[in-house]
Amino acid sequence: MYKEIKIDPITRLEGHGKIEIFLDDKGDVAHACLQIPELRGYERFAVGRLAEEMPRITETICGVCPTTHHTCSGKTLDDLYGVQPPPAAQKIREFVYNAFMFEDHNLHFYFLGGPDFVVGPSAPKAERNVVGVIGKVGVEIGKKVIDIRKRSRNIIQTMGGRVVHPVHCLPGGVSKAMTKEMQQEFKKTAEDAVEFAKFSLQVFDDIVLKNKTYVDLIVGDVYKHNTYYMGLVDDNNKVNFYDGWIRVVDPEGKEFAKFKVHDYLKHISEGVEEWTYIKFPYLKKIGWKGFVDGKDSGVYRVAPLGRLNAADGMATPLAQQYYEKYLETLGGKPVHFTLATHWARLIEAMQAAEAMVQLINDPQILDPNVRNMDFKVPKQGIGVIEAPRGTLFHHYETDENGRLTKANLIVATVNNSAAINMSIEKAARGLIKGGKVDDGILNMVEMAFRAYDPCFACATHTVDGRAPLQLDIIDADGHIVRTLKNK
Amino acid sequence: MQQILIYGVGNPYRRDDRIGLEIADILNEKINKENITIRSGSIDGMAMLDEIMGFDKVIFVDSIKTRDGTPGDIYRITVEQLQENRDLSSSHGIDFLTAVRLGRKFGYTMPEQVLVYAIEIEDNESYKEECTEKVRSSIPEIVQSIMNEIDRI
Repeated sequence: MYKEIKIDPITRLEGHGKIEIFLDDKGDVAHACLQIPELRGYERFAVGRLAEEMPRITETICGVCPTTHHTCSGKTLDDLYGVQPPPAAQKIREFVYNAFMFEDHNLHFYFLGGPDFVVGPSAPKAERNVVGVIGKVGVEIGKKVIDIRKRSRNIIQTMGGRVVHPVHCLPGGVSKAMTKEMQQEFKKTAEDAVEFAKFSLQVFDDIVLKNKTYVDLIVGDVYKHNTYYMGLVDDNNKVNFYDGWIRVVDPEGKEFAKFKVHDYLKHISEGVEEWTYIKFPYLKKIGWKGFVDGKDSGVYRVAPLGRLNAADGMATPLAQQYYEKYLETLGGKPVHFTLATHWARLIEAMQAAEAMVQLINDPQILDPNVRNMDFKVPKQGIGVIEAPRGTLFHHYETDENGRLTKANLIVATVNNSAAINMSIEKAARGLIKGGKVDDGILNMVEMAFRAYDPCFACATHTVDGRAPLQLDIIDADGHIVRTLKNK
Repeated sequence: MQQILIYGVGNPYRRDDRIGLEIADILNEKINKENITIRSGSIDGMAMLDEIMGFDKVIFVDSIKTRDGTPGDIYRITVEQLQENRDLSSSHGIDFLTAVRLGRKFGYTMPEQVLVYAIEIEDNESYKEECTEKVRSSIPEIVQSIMNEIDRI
C-alpha cells in the first residue's frame, strides 16, 4: 500500500515546484512525481482573440525566454496565413534567434545549472549558486558573461524594439530591416560570442572534465535513463534551432521517426495518470507505458541532450569538433546521462555563436524587403522551434477572419515532464532506504531537476523570482518523516 | 541630478498581476521630468539587473499576495528588507537580490536605493486584461504614494 507524500506548493503566480514521494511499507521509495503547471490558461484565453496577437500574448508566458514563444508564434502565423517570409526576414529571424539561444544557454551554465558542477554537488547550499560560481571563476569572467549577454540581448532590442517583449516577428516577416550600421555592430558581437563559447567549453573542460569525481557523477547510474530523443534537424540531420524536420531516435540511437511539424499529432500523444491533471507527451507508435526507460516505453527527451542525440552532428565546424569530443568522452551515441546536458548546452551555444557569424556576414541579410503580406484565408497554423529547453509547438485554429477558435501549446518542459519524474524518482530511490532520509536527497534531486532547466517559473515578474522546491516525505503510516526545502 | 527609474512589473493577462503595468502607464502620463524614466515589463532577476544599472534610485511597482493582507493594501519595502536567498532555488531564473548583489560585485553603477511598492492583490490566476474592482480602486492612492516618494527625493 502506498502512502502519498504531499508537497505543499508555495504559491506563486506560476512556477512552483510540487514533488510527491511515495514510500512503501518498508520505507523505500515506491514512486515519485513532479507536477508542472500546464498552460491551459493561455490556450483558453487565446480563443476569440485575433491570431496576430499571439506573438505578443504568448511571449508573456515566460519572463526568461519570451523570444522563444514570440518566434514560434510568428512561424505559426506564417503557416496560418500561408506566407513565406522573404529571405532577408528569414535570416534576420534566425540571427536573432541564435543570439537568444547563445545568451540563454550561457546564462544557464554560469548562473543556473552550472553551479552544480563549477562549485560542486557537495558544496554547501549557500555556495551552490551563481555567487559561488563567480567565486570560483572570478569576477572578471562573471563580468564577461554579463557583457556578452547584454550585447546579445541588444540584438533582440534593436530588431524588436525591446528585449523583454519584442515586436520582432510578424506574419510573413519581421518588423524591421537590418541596416549596415546594425550589421557592423552585430558582427563584433557574433565574433566575440564565438570566442566566449570557446572559453566556456574550456572552463567546462578545466573544472568538470578534469575532475574524475564529476565525470563519475555524470556517467553514473543515478542520472542515467535510456530513452528516445527528439529534436529539430536540417536536411542533413544536423542540429537546427529554428526550423527543419522533427527527428526522433530510439534508445540505441537509430532513427525512429522523422516528420514535419504538421504531422506532430500523428507521432506525439499525451499520457494520462489518475493522480495528476498533468499529461505526459509520449511517442504514439510506442505507447504510454508509464515512467519507465527503454525501447518499449514511449518516453522521450528533448533539450540539449535530446537534440545532440537526435541529430547526426552539429551544423557548424567548431561545434562539430566539440561534439565529437563529447561523444568520444561519453562512450558514443546516444548519450543517456542527464547531467551531460550541461556540456551539450555549451556545444549548442558554440553552434549558435557560429551561426550568428554566418548569418550576419550574409549580404542578403541587408535586403530591405522583410515582409510578405500575400496572406491567404486562415484556418490552421502549426509552428515548431527548439527552445533552449526543448521542442516547442504552437498550434492555432481560426475562423476565416483570423479569430482563434482553438489553441494548443506543447511547451518544451512538458515534453520532458515524464523524464523529469523518472529522474527525481531515481535520485530519491538512491537515497531513501528504510524510511531514512538525509539532506543529500535535496541536492541530488535538485541536480536531476536542474539539468533539464524546467521552464515552469514562467513570467516570474515578482521581485523574488525564485521557484522554491519543497519535499515532504511521509512514511507508510502517514507521518511526515522529514520536510526539506531549498530556501 | 539623481536619475530615477520607476519600473512596473507584471503580466498583463493575469488579472491583478497587471497592476504594476497599469501604475507605470499612469505615472508615465503624469510625470514629465528629465531625470525620471518609467518602464514596465515581465522580467526576471537578471533582466532587472540590465534595467537598473546606471540609475541612482529605483522604484519597482509590483503585485503581492500575503497571508493576511487586504486587496489594495500598499507595502513600501526596501531591498534590504526582502528576505535574501543565497540558496538560489530557481532552476530557471535568478532572484532579484542576487542580481543586485552581482551588479555591485562586478563594479557596475548600481542604485543607492531600491524600493518596492507592492500592492496586495486578489486574483492573479484568472486570465483577464483588467484588475479586480478592489485592486483597481486602490490605484489613485498608489499613484499618489509614489509621486510623494519622488517629491521627497
